[in-house]
Amino acid sequence: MTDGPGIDRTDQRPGPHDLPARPPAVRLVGLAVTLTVLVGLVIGAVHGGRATAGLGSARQVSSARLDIAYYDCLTTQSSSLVRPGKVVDVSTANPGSWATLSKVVAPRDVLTTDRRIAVAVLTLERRPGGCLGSAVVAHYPNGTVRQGTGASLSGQGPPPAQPL
Amino acid sequence: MASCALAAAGLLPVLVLVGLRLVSIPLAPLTGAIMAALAAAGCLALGGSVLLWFLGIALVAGLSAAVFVARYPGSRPWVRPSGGARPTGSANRFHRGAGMVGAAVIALAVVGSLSALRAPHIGFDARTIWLLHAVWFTDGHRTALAALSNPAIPFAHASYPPLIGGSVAISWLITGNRSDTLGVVMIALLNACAVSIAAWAVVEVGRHCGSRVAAAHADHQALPPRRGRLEAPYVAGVVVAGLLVLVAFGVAGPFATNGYADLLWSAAAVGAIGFALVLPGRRGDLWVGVLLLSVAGLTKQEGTATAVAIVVLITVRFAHHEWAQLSGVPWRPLGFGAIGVLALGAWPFLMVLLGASQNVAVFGVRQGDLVSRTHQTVVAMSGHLHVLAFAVPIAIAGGIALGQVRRASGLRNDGWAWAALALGAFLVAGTYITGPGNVGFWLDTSVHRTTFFPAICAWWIIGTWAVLGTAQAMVPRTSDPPVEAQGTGRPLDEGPPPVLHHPS
Repeated sequence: MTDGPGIDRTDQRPGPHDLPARPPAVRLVGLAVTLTVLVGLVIGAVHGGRATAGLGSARQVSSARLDIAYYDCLTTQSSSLVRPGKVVDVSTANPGSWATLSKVVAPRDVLTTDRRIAVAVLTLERRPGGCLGSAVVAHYPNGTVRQGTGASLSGQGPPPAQPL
Repeated sequence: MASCALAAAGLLPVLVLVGLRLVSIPLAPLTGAIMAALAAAGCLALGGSVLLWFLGIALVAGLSAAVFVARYPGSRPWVRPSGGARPTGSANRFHRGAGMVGAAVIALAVVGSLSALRAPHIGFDARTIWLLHAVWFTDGHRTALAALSNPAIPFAHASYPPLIGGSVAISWLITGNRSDTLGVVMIALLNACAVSIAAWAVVEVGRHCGSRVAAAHADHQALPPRRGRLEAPYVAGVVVAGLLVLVAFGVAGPFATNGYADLLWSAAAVGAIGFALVLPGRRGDLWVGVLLLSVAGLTKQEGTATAVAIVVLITVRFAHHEWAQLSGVPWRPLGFGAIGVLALGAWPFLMVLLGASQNVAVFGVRQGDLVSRTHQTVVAMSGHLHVLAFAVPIAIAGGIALGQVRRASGLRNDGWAWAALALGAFLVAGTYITGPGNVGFWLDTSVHRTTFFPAICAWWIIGTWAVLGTAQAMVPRTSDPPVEAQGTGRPLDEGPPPVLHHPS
C-alpha cells in the first residue's frame, strides 16, 4: 500500500538525519530570511493597523452615519411615492442619480426598463426640503408629478462617495 | 446572535470532519455560511423559504454528523488520531501553549482590525450586490427568480454565488433585524473568520516545525538544545500569524468592513492553500481545505475560478504521489478532484439552467486590442502587488538556504502555493484582457480588490519561510558531532515516537 499523502496519511519525508549537514553560512542566510520577513511583516502590519485605525476615526464615523441617514431619507421618500413591490423605472438621464436611486429602489421595488409597465418613473432632483438637497420625484403615467415626503436631511450635496 | 446561529449550524459537522481543534472555532460560522449558500440555492431553484431550507440542511448535517460519530467511535472529535507528529513532554507544552497563545494573538489582531466597524460604512457593492441578493433570498423564491433575469439591474451581478446573500438573509430572518448595518457586520465577521484561519495555518506550520525540532533534538540527546531553540518555531508561528492578520486587513483596507466579499474568498483560498497544499496532508487539515475552498467558490466568481485551480493543484499533488507509489492510475485523488470541480461548477451551471442575466462586469463594446489591454492590466495589477518584489527574492533565498529544513519539516514545497497564486492572478488578468468594455475603467474600479488574493498569498508564503528559518535546528550543522546511533526521534520525555504515517 502507499505511504504517500492521502486522506489519512501524511507525506513520507526524509528524517532530519537523512539529510546532509548544513554549513553555518547557510544557516545565517536562513536566519537573515527570517529577520527580513519579520521586518517586512512588521512594516506591513503597522501600515495595516494604521489604515484600520483611520477607518474607525470619529470623522469616518460621522461620515458613515451621514451616508446611512442619506439613504434612509431617500428610502422613506421613495416609500411615500410607490408602495413596496411595485414595478418602477428609474430615470437614467443622470447616471449618478440613477446609481444612487437604484440602490434605494432595487431592494424594495421591482425595477424595470419598460416604462409602459412601470407605475412611476422615479428621479432624483435637486429640490429644497429633500435629502441633503436632493429629493425623490415620481412621474406617474397620468402625468402627475409628486415629490417624496416623510423625511428630510438638512445640508447640501450627497455624502462623500464610497470607495468602489 | 446571527453569527452564533451560523456557527451552531456548522459546529457539529466541523467537529466531526476537522476534530476538536482551535481552528474549528472560526471554521464553524464559515461552514454555517456554506449551509446558508446551499439554502439560498435550494430556495432559488426549488422554492420555499431560505430559513426553512437552512434549518433543514443544518438538521440533516447535524444528524448525519451525530450518526457518523455513533457508528464510528474513532471519528469522535475528542478522540485523537493514532498518529500525527504530536510531541509529548515539554515539547507538547510548547505545542499546546503555541495553540492557545496563537489563538489569543489572532483573536486580538482580529478584534483590533474589526474596530473599523465603529464607522458603519456600507460600500457601493454592498448595497448594489450583496445586500440586494440578501433581500431577494429573504423575500423568497419568486422574488429571487425574477431578479435573476431582470435586465434592469445589471449592476447587481445576479449570477454571483449565494454565500454572502444567503448568510445575510439568514441573519436578518433569525434576528428580525433587516438592517443594512447588520448585513455589513455579518460579512465583516465572515471576512474575519477566513483571515483567522489563513493566519492559523501559519501557527500550524510553527507547531509542525516545533515538533520536528523536538524530534530531531531527541535524536541528538548528547547535545543540550541551545536556549530558545525548541520554542523558536512555535513563537515565530504565533508572531507571524498575528502580523499576518494585520497585514491582510491592511491589504483589504476599507473593503474588509464595508460589506465587500473580496477578502472573504481571498483569505479562504489562502487558508485552503496552507492547509491542503503546504501542511503535510492530515485528514483534518484536508477537510479544513475542502471547507475553505467551498467558501471561496460560493462567494464570488473569481473565488470559484481560483478554487477550481486550487482543487486541480491538490489533485495533482496527491495523484502524483500515489502514481509514484502505486505505479497505477491514482483513481482516488482523481475522483475526489473531479467531485470538487463538479461541485464548484454546480452554481454556474444552475445559473445557466435558470436563465440568469449574463454577469456584466463592465458595460460597452470591447475597447483596445490584446496587447494594449494586457499592458494596462499588467501595469494596474502590479501597482497593487508590490509585495511580490519582496516575496519572490525571499522565496528564492529561502528555497536555497532553507530548502533542506523545509524537506526535513515535512511541509510541502512552496512552489505549490506559488502555482496557486500564479493561477489565481492569471485567471483574473485573463478576464480583464479578454473581457468586454473599457478595461481602464474596469481596472480602476476593481483591480485593487481582485489582487487581494495574490497579495495575501505572497505574504502568507514568506511568513512560512520566516517560521522555517527558526526551525533550522532540525537539520544538523557541519560543526555538530556525528550521531553515534541514529535515534528514534523520541520526544524529550521518552514518550512514544511520533508516528508520521498512519494506515488508511
